Amino acid sequence: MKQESGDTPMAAFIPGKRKYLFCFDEIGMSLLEKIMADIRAKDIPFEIFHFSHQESALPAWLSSQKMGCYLYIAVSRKYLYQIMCLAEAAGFSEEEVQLIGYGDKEIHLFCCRCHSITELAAAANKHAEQLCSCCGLLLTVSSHYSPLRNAYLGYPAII
Amino acid sequence: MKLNELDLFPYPFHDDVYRYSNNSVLMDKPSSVEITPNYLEEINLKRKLLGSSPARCFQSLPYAKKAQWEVLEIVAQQLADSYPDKFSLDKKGKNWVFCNTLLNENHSFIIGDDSTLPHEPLDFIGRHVQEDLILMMQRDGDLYLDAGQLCFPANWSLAFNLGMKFKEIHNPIPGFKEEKLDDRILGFLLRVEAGNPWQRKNWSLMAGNRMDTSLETYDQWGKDRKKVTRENAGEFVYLRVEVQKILRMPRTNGILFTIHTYLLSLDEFCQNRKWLEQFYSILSELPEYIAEYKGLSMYKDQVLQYLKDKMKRGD
Ligand code: HEM
Ligand SMILES: [Zn+2]
Repeated sequence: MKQESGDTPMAAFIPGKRKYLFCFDEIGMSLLEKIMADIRAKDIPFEIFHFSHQESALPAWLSSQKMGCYLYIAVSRKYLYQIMCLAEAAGFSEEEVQLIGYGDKEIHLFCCRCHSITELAAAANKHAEQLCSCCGLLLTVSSHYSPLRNAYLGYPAII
Repeated sequence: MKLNELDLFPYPFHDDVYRYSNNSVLMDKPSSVEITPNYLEEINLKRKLLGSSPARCFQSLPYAKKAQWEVLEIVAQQLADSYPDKFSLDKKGKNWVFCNTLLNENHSFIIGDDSTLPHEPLDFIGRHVQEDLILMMQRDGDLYLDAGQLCFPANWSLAFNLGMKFKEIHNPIPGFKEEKLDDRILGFLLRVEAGNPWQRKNWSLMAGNRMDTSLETYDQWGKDRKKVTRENAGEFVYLRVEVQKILRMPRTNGILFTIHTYLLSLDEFCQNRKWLEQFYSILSELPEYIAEYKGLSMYKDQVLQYLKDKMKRGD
């Protein structure tokens, strides 16, 4: 998965795909405008999805897509991780997705045991396990997100 | 075993196949809480947990105070109405006296005045009932978890879930979003009316008979799942059923969600032949994603073996 982590996130056009999918929030839309305009001009099939947090239609939209689609996701880094998990669950491979995040570069991991927060790079690998910086429990990062805590829930990695 | 434990157990199944669905039904006899023979034991455990792990067991947001008082009023009133030999609620204007004869406690307070209670209102009344109490406030067509007392969770964290919307809370459940169950259940909850409460049952299996299976202590009790064998399943594995009640609060328009947890060992459960047979069908057909989410994949086969042995022996 190509991930933009610079200060001014940019989406790169990847040519030659059968169909393009764009999933974005309000600010994310502006980051994809140029590519969407190009694709419109070239008459290539595309579909868009306006993301809002806790959008329950997104998994269905992702799973309804056929093979050979290329997916752009441009949202706040807060939600990037969650959407990445949804895309993966819907069968998208790393090569078929481009993530364009804006906002904070850190995501927070909430320790299920001691409730402390550990900061992780927003680009952190979903499958990597993380030590709680406070109690040392080895945690897996889940896609369960709390807006109040502004954090993802970490479950014990080993039972 | 108390004689009537089997009779009191809320058998959770209807069909030979189990899937996630909205299995809520209108209550015949409206109530928010129930007293069972385990009352003293469970109240003692609750109070111990609240003392030793307050952040794990009670959480609240400041703007839910008024609704917390309504929870206190609903639950205290119902206790006095349903169990007049055990509880009483005496109201003289704003001066209320709540008596709990099971615990030999009298509490006088001024309704609406936080300073007259030893704990926040929901935390206070929760210490008199076996149920966990969750307060969901309704705003902008959604329900938010704004306060709760949770001592006996089925592996989730109240501290993490505080402030979440209904659908955010249910995000970890496989298939919920994909099948739009979360949309449908939320729609249902928003339409629940005061005076017409609903209830549903949820079930799971547990290795061991701990009531406090919090996510915070999962690294301790989760290990027990590895100890289940075909031979020890009868004594060691428990069916865990939550009777959940859903009440609309008339004044603050919140939803009071109460959870009463029951545990029954498989040996006791299997004394009922029909239960044994139906549960065997359900478990042998249960899809892996549900078994995995409920945390029973690791020992499902051992339990199936045990149930099979039991059925053979009974013939
Ligand atoms: C309004 C109050 C409710 C609250 C606060 C609530 C809360 C929860 C929580 C915290 C979980 C565990 C999630 C996790 O793994 O982190 C859960 C699971 C679940 N909830 Fe709810 N819930 C409510 C109402 C309902 C209703 C009305 C239904 C269905 C009609 C429902 C269906 C379920 C199901 C099926 C599960 C998975 C249980 C399992 O497989 O063991 N919930 N709920
Ligand atoms: Zn920790």
